[in-house]
Parts: sequence; structure tokens; C-alpha cells
Amino acid sequence: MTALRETLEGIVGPRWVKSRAPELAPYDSDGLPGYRATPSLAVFPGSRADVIAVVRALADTGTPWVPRGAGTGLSGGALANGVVLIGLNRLTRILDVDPVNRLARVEPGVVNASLSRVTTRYGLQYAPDPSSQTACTIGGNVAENAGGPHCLKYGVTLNHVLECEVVLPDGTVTRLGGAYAESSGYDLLGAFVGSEGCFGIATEVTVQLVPLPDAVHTLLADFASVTDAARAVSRIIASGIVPAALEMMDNATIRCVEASIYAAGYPVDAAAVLLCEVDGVAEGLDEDVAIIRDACHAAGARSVAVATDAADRARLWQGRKKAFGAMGRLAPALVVQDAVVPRTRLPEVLAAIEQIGERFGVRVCNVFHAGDGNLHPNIPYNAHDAAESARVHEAMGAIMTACIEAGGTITGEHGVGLDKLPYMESLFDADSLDMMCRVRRVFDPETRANPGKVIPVHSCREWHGATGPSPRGPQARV
Amino acid sequence: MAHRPVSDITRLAEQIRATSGPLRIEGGGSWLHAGGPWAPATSLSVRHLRGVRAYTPGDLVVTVAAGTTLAELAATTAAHGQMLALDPYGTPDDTIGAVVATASPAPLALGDHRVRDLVLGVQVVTGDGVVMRAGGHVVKNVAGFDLVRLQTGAWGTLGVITEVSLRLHARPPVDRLVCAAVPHADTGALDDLLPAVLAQRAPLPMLLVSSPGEEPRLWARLSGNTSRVRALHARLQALPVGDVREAPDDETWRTLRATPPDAIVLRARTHRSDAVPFFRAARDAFDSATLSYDPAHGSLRLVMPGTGLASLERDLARWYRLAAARGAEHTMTVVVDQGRTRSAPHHTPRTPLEAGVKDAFDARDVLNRLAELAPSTLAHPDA
Repeated sequence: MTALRETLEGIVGPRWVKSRAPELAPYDSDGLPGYRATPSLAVFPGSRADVIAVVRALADTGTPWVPRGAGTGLSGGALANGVVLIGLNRLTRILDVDPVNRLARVEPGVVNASLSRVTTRYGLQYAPDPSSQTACTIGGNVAENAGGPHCLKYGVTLNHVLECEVVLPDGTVTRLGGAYAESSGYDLLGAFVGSEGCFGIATEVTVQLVPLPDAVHTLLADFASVTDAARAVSRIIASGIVPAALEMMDNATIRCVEASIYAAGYPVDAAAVLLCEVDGVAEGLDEDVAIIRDACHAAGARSVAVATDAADRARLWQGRKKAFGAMGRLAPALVVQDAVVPRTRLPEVLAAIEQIGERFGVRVCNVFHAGDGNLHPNIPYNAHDAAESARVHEAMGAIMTACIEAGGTITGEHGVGLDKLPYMESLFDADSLDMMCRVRRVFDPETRANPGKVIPVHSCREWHGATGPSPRGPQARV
Repeated sequence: MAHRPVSDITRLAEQIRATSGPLRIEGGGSWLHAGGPWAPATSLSVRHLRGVRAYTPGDLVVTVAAGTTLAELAATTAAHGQMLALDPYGTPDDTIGAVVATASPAPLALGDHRVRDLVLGVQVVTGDGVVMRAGGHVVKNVAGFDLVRLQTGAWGTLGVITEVSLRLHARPPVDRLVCAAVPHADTGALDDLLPAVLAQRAPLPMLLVSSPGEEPRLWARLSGNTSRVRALHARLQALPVGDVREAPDDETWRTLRATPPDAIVLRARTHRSDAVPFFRAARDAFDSATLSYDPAHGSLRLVMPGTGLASLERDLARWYRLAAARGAEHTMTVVVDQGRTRSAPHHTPRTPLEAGVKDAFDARDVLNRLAELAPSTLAHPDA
């Protein structure tokens, strides 16, 4: 490892290679508690050329590595024991913004929110807005195919990334997609986005920008029952309006927010509130607001308030965006989960989650993207209490099972990482998982990039010497 | 050529495993001229795999067998006030499997959606005869590597798509197709119109269509509530075009999407800011082509009925020359959507990654191994 360290120091300079335990400690976890893994070295390239040289040096020595942006991930994805961690947070240049073609070309370490700050002057925005957008990086967003509240209308990262320059694990540099190129080949960019650092490192990302809306209206509806709130979601979606965002917070979350410095004036006796935003062309928005208000009342809303100005809107959003921070008051650790269920199954799944919380003696706070059925059940707990940690872990497993049984999936925007690995086999059959393994090996034949993530190791058939379809083939289930 | 209808996934997988020669995958069989002629091969038709497998309207997600036609899908979803948010070029008798396999472009799609935006999951039988699934039935999903995107637009070379799950949209209260003439297009009206179209900030799917010997027309889709549609109409009318009028009937829409079977169809794209030289050079180079420019994606569709190979290559060279002279050439890419050309076969992998992906799904190279079946990139004639 000394020789490798010296090689890497020769590329990026000694200052940017960390090898002592105290220096590596910040990189042993991401935003999800419960997973710790310490790299053997952490290297921080300062340029595209550095990244390529580092990846090639690691290829030459057959060394596994894990890429990392801001470390805000919520799946235990950007960490691994004994590997080299490649930190991309020094690559923070916005290379160019092309307002006419509505494109921006950025380095992977650019912070999500800072891109929109720059493009605002052109009346444009980068639409995907994960809750961690003031810290998370575009490279990390690409790796996870990140979402956010406004993805209901605007789409997730995949829908906004047009082209990537990628260093493959063998050190080859290639371009995937095309900002304005007609393609007749396979959608390799589509496969790369969301590959959780297993297919390579994006050294440059070209994204599309969308016009800032002419006008925005934000509503807050409060409900005496979660089922009523879920029914309102269905009514709004069925009306043909595509809200920019449609978020739900349950009573546990509301109380938590209102007791914190992020208090937004949510009614603390509500079983749930819906935060709904419509935006776009100014004309007709009032009509949409009226339809949404009616839909909420018809579903049993106790009240519906419409933000009167930008400050009022910001206040309503503050509670939602800072809900995770507010939960930090309840316990030293917070596990943020991520699952998606068909929208019509929301009431029963939320009821099941409540029962699971009671059964395992844990407090579940739900704050989530109701418009697309993307749940975030969160459990504040003391990670130093082994018994409580075990109960939390079991509760999370039960919640995942409930979501899968409802026809949903185990992650909508956070990725599989380490945390969701145990559920992949409940979701996909052996043949489908094997095909994912095969595609991974196209990009990384030695599986050195972020090893042990996304697909359970034992699902990759060649590693067991088996070939051909499994007898289970036609019974594939998702 | 042997022709084998498929009605059962297990049998389909068995058939593929038992075959050593090339297999041609068919949906409705309505677009076999895309790239023909083809080498003799066993043909597997999935048109008998049809019907709705799962549909809960409240979820706005439908799962259908691949042989289901767009007309059947539209009828099913319309009954619940919903729709697939795009109508691709072609006919209502095309199958959804073919639409996904070819990632067919769709003009004036609601929200400017493309096929890849709306496919949530697929069931596929690979070239090794393995039945697999990718994606799922919910609108957001990042569980595992995204094999749905790889199958979408792979022209059946990575697997036989047997079932697809699609994201639907509720029909907006008002959804209207309108069009306006673009007078004096030959004397520079496009120089004013295209930049104005591209600067449009409203969600307003548009299509500029220029047929030989006719005044170009700007089409648009206005959707939303009454007030918004009125506002969008006004914005459209503020562009340098003639009177904006509602399209008379569904027949107009069908005609706009129809493609003559003997035509060569090209898709080309460039930066939106190069739209004027790009479009004008195409108009000058291809006398007989109908051009449709989609400003949202910067793409141009060229339909040339009855064009021979020699004239195509001559006109293409002329287009590149004219576009270069006007400053647009360096970013242009052109691919063939339909029709025979001398360009490299699609399935010939052009990069090691593409070769690897093909090998992962179809190691024996049996699926759609047909020289000009799928679109191919046209090299610059001087390259």
C-alpha cells in the first residue's frame, strides 16, 4: 500500500492523499447511520487528468476503489473497507452554461444547488432537487439517479443528464450520450446514470436546464387522517394537473418540525399535511389551485391554505426541506428510508408502517413524495444502543417487505448501496439479477469499482461457475 | 422464411434456445420495411402476446403484453380519462413492443416526453432464451442497474420484449392540436420564427413541418385548463406565423404521423442554436423530403418517399456542404430510421461497451442479426 500511496501522491500531491486513521474517519460513513467502513487510502484528485491518472494507477495495481461526492448518500453506497476512496469534491467547476441551448457542462463535484444559483441569471434552473441539494454533488446525483420533491413534474436526474464523459474502471475514457447528437446505439448513458459508482466515474456531466416558472403557487392542506390525505393525492393526480411537487408529512413529522427552529406553522393536531405546488405559465394557475383545493376538501381536508407571497412559500417549504434536520432533535441517529409503492396502495402501506412501528417499539416519521408514491419512513434512534438498533433494523426490513408486497420497489431515489442489498432478491429473480451482473462486468470486468454494492455477490452466476438460464426463468417476478 | 407466431413466453424462450440461426423479431409486422431487405431468418412474431396484464387507473400505470396495439392501449386508458402521453410516428396498429424496442420518436408529445421517459419496466427474453425482468411497476425506481434503458431503443437486438409497464398521464381538461402557416418561409421568415420558437419558455410542444411545394406549417399542442390553453394560444399567435387554428380532425393527426412504407426516413440533430442553418440547408438539399423539426429536442425528421440510394447520398453530401457553409455542420448527426442505406449495420457494435452489452444479452448473436434492420449513423460523406 505504501507504493500505491506514493504513486497516488505523485499524481495529486501528498496533501491530497489521506492514509492515517484520523484522516480517514470522516469517510467511513455516509448520510445513513448504521454502516461504517474505512478505506485504506483516500485520494482527492484536483482535475480531470488527475482522476484519469488515479483510476489508471488503481487499474495497474488491480486495486478496488469507491467514488464519493459529498458523502450525503443514504444507502451506504460511498464507503467500503480496505479500498481506495476517490473523493471528487475538488472538481467543482461549472465549465460552461449555454443559455440558448439550455445546457450546462459541469465537473462532478459541483454542488447541486450552486448550479441553479448560477443559471438563475439566465432564467433557467437545474430541476432535480434532492433535499440535500445544498451539499450533494451532481456527480453523486448521477451515480444515484437522484430525485427530489420537484421530480414529480420535472423528472429525475436521468431525465436531465444528456451526456457524460466517463473514466471506466480500466482507465479508458469514453463519452456516453450526446448533448445534441442523434444516437442509434444502445442507451449506455441511461444505464450509467444510477449505476452507483459501479460503472465508472463521470468526469464531466452535461445537463439540460429548464426555464424557471413564470409563477408558483404553494398550498398546504391539513387532514384528520392519513387516508384522507392519500385520497386527496389520488384526486389531484387524476385531475390531469401535474403538480410541481406533492409532498406529505405525517403527524410525527409535523410535531417534530414544529418543535424545532424550522417551525413552519403546520397544524400540530393534523394527522397529515399535504404540501402541493403548481408552477409554470401564470395564466391558469389560479384555476389549478381551485381544483386542488376542491380535491383536498372533497377528500376530507380540514383546511387548505395558499401561500400569499414568496416568504410564505419559503416558510411552508422550510418545514419540509428541514424535516430531517428537525428529527435530529429526537435522537442521535436517524435512518432515512426510501421505497416506492403504487399510489393507490399508499393508505394501506402507511397503516402497515404504523403497525410495524408499534410492533418493534420504534417511532416512524413519514415525510415523502406522495405524488409519485415515494415513501421516506424515518426512524430516529440511538445507534449506540445495540438492542434499539436491532429493532430499527428489523422494523426497516418489515417496512421494505410491506412495500414489495404492495407491488412497489425498495428504492426510488437513494439507491441500493449496502442498505438495500438484502432485498434485491425479493424484488428480482436470479436471472434478472444475473443479467445486471453481466452488464456490470461489461463496464468493469474485474468488479473493482464500488465492490459489493447493488447486487448481492452470490447472485452473480459466474462466481459460482454456473451458466445458462436458471430453472426459475419464466416465473420471474418483480 | 419460417414464420412462428408466439403465444406463450415459455415456448418463446424454448424456441430461442433451440435456434442457432438468426431470428427476426416482429411486432405487428407493420414496419418490416424499416431497413429492409433482410437476410433469410426465422421470424418470431409477438403480435399474439396482447392484452392488458395489469391496470389500476389510480396508479396511472399500465402493464400490457408487447403485441398490444397503440389503438388498444388508447382505448383501454381513455375509458379512465388517461393516456400514454405520446403518439409515435406510425399508425395506431403498431404494437407497444415495437414502439419501445425502436424508441420511436413521437411528435408533439404531451410534456415533450419521449418513449424512454415513460417505460417503467419490461419483461424480456434474451438471446440466450432467458426470461428476465427489468424495472418495475412504479413511477420512480432505482433498484439495481437500469436495464430498461438498454432495452429501450435496442431494436430487439438485446432481447425480445414481451411485456411493458408504462407511465400514463391523466388527460388534461383541454388538449388541442393547432396549426398555423408560416408565410414567406423561402424569403427568410424562418430566420425570425425559429429563434422565437426556441426562446419560448412555456410548455408548448411544437413541430415545424415543411412539405415540398407547400408553405411550412407550425403545429403545436395546447393542453391544460381553459385559461392556460387560451394563454398558450396567444403566445403561439405572437410568433411570426399566420392565424393559429385548431386542427380539423383526428385524420389530420394520423396523416402527420403516417410514414410511406417505401420512404427513406432520416433523423438528424444539432444544437438548437443552429436550427436556422440546419433547417434551411436541409430544405435546400432535399427537394422531395418532408421535414419535421422538433424544437424541444433539436431534432429534424426527413421523410423521402421513393428516394434511391444514389440521390440520397448526393443530397446528404449537399446538406452537409450547405450546413457547413452556414455554420451548422460541425454538430450535426444523422441516423437512418427507415430505409436501406450503405451505412454500417446497427448491430455491429461500434464500441467495446456496445459489443459487451450485446454479448451480455445475446452471446450467440441470434437476435435481429439483420444488416440494415435498425437505424445506423450516417458517416459524413467526406469522412
